[in-house]
Amino acid sequence: MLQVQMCGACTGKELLQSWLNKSMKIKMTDGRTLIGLFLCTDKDRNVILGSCEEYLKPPGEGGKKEEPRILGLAMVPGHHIVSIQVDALRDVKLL
Amino acid sequence: MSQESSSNVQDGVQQSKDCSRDDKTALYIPKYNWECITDVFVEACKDLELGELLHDSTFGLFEAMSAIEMMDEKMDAGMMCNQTKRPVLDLHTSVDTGLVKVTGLTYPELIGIMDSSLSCMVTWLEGHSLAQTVFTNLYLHDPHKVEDKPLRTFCLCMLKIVDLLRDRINKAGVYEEEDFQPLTYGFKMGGDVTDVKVISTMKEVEEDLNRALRHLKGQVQEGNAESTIEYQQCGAVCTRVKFFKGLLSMLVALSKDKCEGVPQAKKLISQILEFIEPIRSTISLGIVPEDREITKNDYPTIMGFDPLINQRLLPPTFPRYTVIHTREDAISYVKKLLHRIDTATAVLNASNIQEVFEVFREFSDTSPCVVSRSILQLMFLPPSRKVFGVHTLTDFLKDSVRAFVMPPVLSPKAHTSISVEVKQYVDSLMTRAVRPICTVLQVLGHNRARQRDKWAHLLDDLVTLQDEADKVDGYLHQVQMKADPSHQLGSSFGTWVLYYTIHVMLAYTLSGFELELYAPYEYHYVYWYLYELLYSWMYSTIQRAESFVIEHEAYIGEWYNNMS
Repeated sequence: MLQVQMCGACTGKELLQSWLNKSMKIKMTDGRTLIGLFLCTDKDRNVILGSCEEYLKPPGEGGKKEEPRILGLAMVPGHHIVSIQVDALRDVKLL
Repeated sequence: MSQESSSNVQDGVQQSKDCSRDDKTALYIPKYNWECITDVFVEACKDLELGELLHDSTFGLFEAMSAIEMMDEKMDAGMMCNQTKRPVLDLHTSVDTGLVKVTGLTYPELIGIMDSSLSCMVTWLEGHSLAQTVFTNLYLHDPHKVEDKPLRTFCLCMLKIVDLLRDRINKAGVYEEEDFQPLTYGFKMGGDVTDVKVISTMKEVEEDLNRALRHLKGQVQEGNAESTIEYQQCGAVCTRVKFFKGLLSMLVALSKDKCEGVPQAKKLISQILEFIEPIRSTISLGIVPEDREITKNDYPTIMGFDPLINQRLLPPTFPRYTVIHTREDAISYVKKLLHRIDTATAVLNASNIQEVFEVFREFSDTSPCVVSRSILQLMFLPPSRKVFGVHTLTDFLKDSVRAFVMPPVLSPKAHTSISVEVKQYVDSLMTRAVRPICTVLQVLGHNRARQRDKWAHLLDDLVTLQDEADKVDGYLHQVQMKADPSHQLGSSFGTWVLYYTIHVMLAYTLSGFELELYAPYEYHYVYWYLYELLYSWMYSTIQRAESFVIEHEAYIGEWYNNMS
């Protein structure tokens, strides 16, 4: 909730724009996880990820490191998205 | 949290507690700092209009169009319904769990593995990827893990054959994506063993099998019924070993730089052809796949093969299904391929470009495969860029012009009396002619459907060459007028270039028929154009060339007599 606190007066659009080109992790309805760069979205929450990798099990969770499948440019329909996480390592506003 | 992040940036270094430092390399391996924004994202999207896309300036609809759509079974190869339920194990795991044998293989197993490998290779040569054909054979992933000598040697031999074929096709450069997939996905092609070593080891395996055959024959003659079957099986394996050894040797011979290996390759081809029918008749002796559910990209295979083993290596486009040839089809394909390569060797008999052109044209008319087209191209012009590995291109072109119009300036007898300037003009024209003329031959190496476009582009280059040839002719005419006005020389070089230009125009026009580009009501326009213009022009060009040869030879003879 960092960004929301930082700019309470931000519009939804500005918020979305602040996340563009950041790494994003999306969990899909069939259990797969996608990690890629957030490139594009629309009103229906369809998301396009660049340099996208597909993990069958959520990465970082137990057991040996899974080799992701490299997808490249991928589009996830909004209704197949369960959760979205963004990489908050760097704050765009301060750069 | 906000205070932490500001101190992060002030340090200029990512010091968040999630970052780990690798002391060995002193590099920071950044870990992600995931923050859940699902609800915020959903809310934020409501601000967008219907149809409005949110992106930055470097991203556009053109890029968006090429994205794969997830959860669409036609595009998403990783979807559950496109995934297999059965376990897919690599070679090492399969061997450790006993599913795949690397020692003590029976003759039927060897026959089945060899025949299936050939089927996979043929399927690859027809334009499929190595990952979905040849490398569905797990044994080829790591031949050194195979303890059984015949199988290990066969695997190395197969890798070498595939590598040589790939090398030839790549170097010739006359393939398109529909013809051939060159990607090797990082698989090792037996590069740690030399071709010679593999061939000699195959010879050892052949001798071992011959010994076994003699032993079995003795038993058969004693009346041992079981031995008869084993004798046939052993013989089948031995024939295959000889076949693959011959195939590898032939490809090695063809790859020699100066084309000196071609006669040997021809001999090997006729030897290998003798093995085709014995192989075909013993295909049934090999092990066959057990029945298993056939899905879109999974089919039953024998031990050691798995169609899905390389799925993760495939590009993330829509799923592509490869249907492997049957063993009978594969051996028939190889028989035809060997005949085509044999036909291609005839090009070495050509003594000038016109003859090479004829060979290439006749060959292309048969719609040959990418392998034989590539081999023909490389026989004419190996990587050394010398014709047949021996002549320089400009010399060969000069021979060709001589054969076609016999211009006095190129006559060996007139050599000493020609000025340096004239020689330079002619040499420079020949050098400039190399590229367009070689392109003519290269276009003939592509598949029939692709040639028309290339002919169109080539015409531009040929028109420029025509201009230059006409200029040289004009210059030679002037020189001749000064030296001896009583004898006029014809436009030798121009006529020679025109011959090729008209041929390309003809090829372009005629390909329209082959590609069914003309509507029936347009046929008579095309026929008229061919008859009134192109063919009659070609006829007059050839007639002129013939008369030049006679005139020029007479002139040269006369001039030479006067000089001596």
